[in-house]
Amino acid sequence: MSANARPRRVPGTRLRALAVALFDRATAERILLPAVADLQHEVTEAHGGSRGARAVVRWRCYLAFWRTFAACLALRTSPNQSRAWGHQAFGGVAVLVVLTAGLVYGPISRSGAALGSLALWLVPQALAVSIPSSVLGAGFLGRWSRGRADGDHAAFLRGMVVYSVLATMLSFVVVAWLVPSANYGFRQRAYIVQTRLGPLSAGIHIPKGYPEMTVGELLEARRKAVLRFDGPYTWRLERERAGYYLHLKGALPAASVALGLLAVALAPWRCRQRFPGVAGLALGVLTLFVYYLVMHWSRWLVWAMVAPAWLGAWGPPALFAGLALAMVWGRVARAGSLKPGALEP
Amino acid sequence: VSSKTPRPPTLSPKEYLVLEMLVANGPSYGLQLVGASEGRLKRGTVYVTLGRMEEKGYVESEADPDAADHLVLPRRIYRPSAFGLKIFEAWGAMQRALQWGAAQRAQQWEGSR
Repeated sequence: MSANARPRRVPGTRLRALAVALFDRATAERILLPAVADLQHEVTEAHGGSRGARAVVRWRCYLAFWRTFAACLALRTSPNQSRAWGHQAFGGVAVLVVLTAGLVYGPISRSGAALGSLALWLVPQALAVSIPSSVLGAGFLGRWSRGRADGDHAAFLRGMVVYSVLATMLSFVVVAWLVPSANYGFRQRAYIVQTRLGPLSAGIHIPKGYPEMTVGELLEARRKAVLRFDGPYTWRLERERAGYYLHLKGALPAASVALGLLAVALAPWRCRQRFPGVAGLALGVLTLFVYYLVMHWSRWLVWAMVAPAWLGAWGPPALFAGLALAMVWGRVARAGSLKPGALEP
Repeated sequence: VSSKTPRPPTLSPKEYLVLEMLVANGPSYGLQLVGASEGRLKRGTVYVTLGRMEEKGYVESEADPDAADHLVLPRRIYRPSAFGLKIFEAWGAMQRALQWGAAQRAQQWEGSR
């Protein structure tokens, strides 16, 4: 072989590594690796054919693999599955309840008894933060029933996919519809309570801030920002601020997917620790802290007119999702040279 | 039936089809079964069915011992297990008995008209 000759690249090598890295040994060996073997044999056998015929074979084989992959996620693989799901749901709901209660209690306790009756109005705003955070709870707290991982990767992945998708949908409903009206309702009532206007308050409507606007109102605010006469800097800033809150309506729900991916990427590390429960809790708190720190910085960049609104809003979920995918990809690359099951925690 | 009584083994139509083809054609790999099934088995789900059957103990599998290319994964060859053969025969006998019973009833019904 000459110095320039490259080793033969076998199709499906990455898929093989992906199956080994993401699924338990039984699922990988019994279901996914035979599908990869078929793919490798068929594509290799089609080498002599025309370019079009090879493309058809390749496309058919990859489609069959991904259908098998999806079927593995929908498959009942273990008698412990319902228990594993129960632990995941418990971890997620526990974080959801504790964080929501804490986020509502904080501002109410600082403002005194007068606003105590308005606590319910703060629940949607708290949910906007606690729903994505609960995905971390499902990923990091819900899987140490026997001290260590039970090796059922497929059930864990399936649970995370279901939980992340549900959290994203719920989060979107909360952020797009509930938060604007609840935030505005809270501020309006708090104003009336604090100014003690009582019956005089009829007909008073305080101006809406951007976090209290719906998608339509934000689009309108962004359009109208250009019409302001207090200088180009101000209208550009106002347009970016309105744009930031507009993008945030999609970016906040997307945080559930990003954090779910990160939980999947970090779960094997957590399960290798001596106290996986404590490690999961610490990891969850740290991840959440860093996420909201990054979110705060990215918002500051928009406010300082350094970054555009879309980047400020979508940057944190994109960064975390990218980081998680890079970690999974790293595991896949390392698993390429290992035997199936070697990476099981 | 008490809840502690173990459930009798069952065979889904797809599992029966797989066992039928393995008995008729001998040890095969997944794509051979898909090809022989004339569209009744799909290549995206055949290994899910085979994996479940292996878990239940109906089939056994091993890596193809004749695989020559060491760079690609060897194909997995499936054959019915002794337990799988018993279930297949019992299931077939039950189906035949039910079909015979249904035919008898149909004849009786025709005769009574």
